[in-house]
Amino acid sequence: MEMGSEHAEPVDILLVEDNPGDIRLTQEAFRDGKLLNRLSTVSDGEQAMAFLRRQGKYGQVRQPDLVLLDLNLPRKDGREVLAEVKADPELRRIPVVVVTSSRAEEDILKAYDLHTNCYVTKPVDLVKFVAVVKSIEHFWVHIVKLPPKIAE
Amino acid sequence: MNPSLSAHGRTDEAFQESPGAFEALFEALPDAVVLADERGCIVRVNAQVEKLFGYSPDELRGQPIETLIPERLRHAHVGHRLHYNQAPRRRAMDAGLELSGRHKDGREFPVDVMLSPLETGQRTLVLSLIRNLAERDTREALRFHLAALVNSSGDAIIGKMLDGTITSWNKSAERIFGYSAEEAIGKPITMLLPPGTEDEASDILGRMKRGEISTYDAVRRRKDGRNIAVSVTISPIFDTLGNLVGASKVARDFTERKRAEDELARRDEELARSNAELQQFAYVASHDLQEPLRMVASFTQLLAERYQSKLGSEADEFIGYAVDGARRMQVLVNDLLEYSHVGTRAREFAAVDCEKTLKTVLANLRKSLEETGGQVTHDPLPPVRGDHTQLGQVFQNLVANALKFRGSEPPHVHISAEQIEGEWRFSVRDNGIGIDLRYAERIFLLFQRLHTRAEYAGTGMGLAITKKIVERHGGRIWVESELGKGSTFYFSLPMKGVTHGNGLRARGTG
Repeated sequence: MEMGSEHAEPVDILLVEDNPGDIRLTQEAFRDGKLLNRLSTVSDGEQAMAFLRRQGKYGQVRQPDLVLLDLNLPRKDGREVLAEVKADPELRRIPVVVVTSSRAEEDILKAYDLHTNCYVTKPVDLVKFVAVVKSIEHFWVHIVKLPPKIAE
Repeated sequence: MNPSLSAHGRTDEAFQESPGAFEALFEALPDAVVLADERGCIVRVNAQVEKLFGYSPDELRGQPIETLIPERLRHAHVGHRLHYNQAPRRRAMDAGLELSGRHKDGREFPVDVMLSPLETGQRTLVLSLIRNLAERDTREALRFHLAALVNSSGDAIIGKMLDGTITSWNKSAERIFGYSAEEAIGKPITMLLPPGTEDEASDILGRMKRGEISTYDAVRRRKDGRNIAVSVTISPIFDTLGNLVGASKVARDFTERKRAEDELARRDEELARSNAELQQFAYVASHDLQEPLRMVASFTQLLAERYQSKLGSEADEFIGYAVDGARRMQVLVNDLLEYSHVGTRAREFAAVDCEKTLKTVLANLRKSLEETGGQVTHDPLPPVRGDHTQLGQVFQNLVANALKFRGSEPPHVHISAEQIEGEWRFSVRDNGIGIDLRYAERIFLLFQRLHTRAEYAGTGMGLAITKKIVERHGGRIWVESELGKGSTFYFSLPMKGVTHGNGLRARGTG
C-alpha cells in the first residue's frame, strides 16, 4: 500500500459517525495501516459543523484535510452537513467522503447532487470493511493532491 | 241515385247548398256507413263497407241489410229491425250489445253499431255506422300488453311532461322510490332529487327539452328519505305530429351493486395498503437489521482474528458459532431485502428477448457449469413482456437450483416454452435428485429448506423470490418431480402481457 507521494505532514481526518462500533472499526483499520494520520471523531451533524468551523469547544482543533461522513446522524444529518460544507466558501474545498450503509439509489444521487467527493458503502464483512477504509485513506492521503490548508 | 239528404232534426245549410261536401264527408268517415230503407234494403254504403265486409257498393245495393250479418243471427235481426222501425231513434255505440258482422267470405267479426233514423222527406231511412271491434280489440290488447310490460319491468318507468310533471308511474317506480302512483302523478319530478342537487333539475329539463336521449348515474331520494344510486335513461316522447311533449325516464336501482363495488374497491385499497406496509416492513426490517448485524459479525470476526487460540479451545468453538451465525444471518437479511425488492425495485415492463436473457444467465453461471460438468439446452424461446432483470433472475435461480441439486450424473438442464391457453408455459427440466411431491408447495415459501445446510447450502429464499417475480408478471409457478429422477419446474407468463407489474409502484396508496 506504500505508493505515491508521501506527505511530509500527517493528514487530519474527521470522522463523523454516530455508531461507536463503526468508529472503533475505522480506528482499527487505521491502526492496522500504521498510518500516522490524525483521526478525530464527532458523533452528530451539529458537532461536525462546530468542529469544521472551529467553534466552541473545537476552537483549538486543526481544520481537517478530509471528512468521512455518515449520512444518518442525530440532530443534523449527513445530507445537511454536506450541503452546508459545500455551500461554505471556507469549507467547500475539503474533500468529503460519504461512508454509509445505505445502498439506496436516492441517497447516492442526493449525495452527489450535494457535491460529495465520493460515495462509499460500508461493506458488511469485516475484512472488506477494513480494506475499504484503508483504500479510502490510501487514495486521499497518498494519491490525491489535496488543497493547501487555509492559513490559520 | 243521389238522394238529397238532411240530418235528422237539423238542417245544415252548407250541406244543402253543397251536396258535394256531404259526399266527401260520407266517404271520408272512418266507420263503415250503411243506409237502408224501412224494408231493410241497403240504399247506399260508403267505401269503408267494402273494406270491412268485402262487398262492392253495387253488390250490396238493394240487398237486405242482413247480408252483412251472420246467418245464425239473420232471423232475429229481422225482428229487431221491425221493432226498431216502430219507434226509430238514435242508438249510440257502446250500448253493451255483442254484435257481429259477416264478411263476404263468411268470416265473422265483432262490431259495434250506431243507428240513427234519417228523415228524407218522403221516407225514413236508417243510417248505420259500423265499427270493426276486432281492430280495436287488437289495439287494446296491445295497449294492455304494453301496460303490463311497463308494470312488470324491474326498472322504474316514469312518464313526465316537459315541465317535469309526472304523468305515469309504474310498479317498480313505486318500489324503488316508495311513492305510490297516486302520490307521484301530477307532482314535479324534482321531488326525487336529494337536497343540494337542485342544479341537476334544470340540467335534466334542459336536455329533455332539446329532445336528447341521455343516460347517467345519479343519486335520488326515496319517500322515506333514504338516498339510492340509480342509473337513469331519459328519452324524449313525441306526439304523432312530431312535437316534443314529454319524456320517459327509466331508472334502475343499483344501490346494492354500487355498495358491493364500493366494498370491493375498499378491500382492494386495504389490500394494496397492507401489501405496501408489508413491503415497507420487510425492507425496513432487512435494511435496519443490517446495521447491528454488521456490528455483531465484524466484532466476532475481530475477536476471532485477535484471540484465536488464546482463550482455549472452548472459546474458539464458541467464537466459531458466533461468527457462523452472524454470517448466515447476514445472508438471510440480504435475501429478505432482495425478496422485498421484487416489489419495491420493480421496473416498467418491456419486451424481453428470453433467448438473450438466458444467454446472459448462462454466462453468469459459467463457473458452476464448468464445476459440475453441467449442460444447458433449450428450444426456441418466445419474446415476452416483463422486467428483464427479474425474468433473468427466474431463469438463473431455476438453472442454478438444477445444478445444485444434481444427481450422480452430470446435470443436464433443458428449457422450453409452449403456448397453452393464452399463456406461455416455460419449463426447466433437470435430471437431478428430484423432490418429494409432498413438499412441492413448501419449496416456494420463504426460508423453506428440504435439506440440512450441511447437505446443501442456501437460505431457502431462491424459489420464494422466483415465485414472487413470476406472480408479479401475472403468472404461476409449480413443479413436477419424481424422487431420484429429476424435476421439471414450470412457470407461466400471460401472452398478452401485463403492462404494469402488480408491484406496489403501479398503484396509488389511496
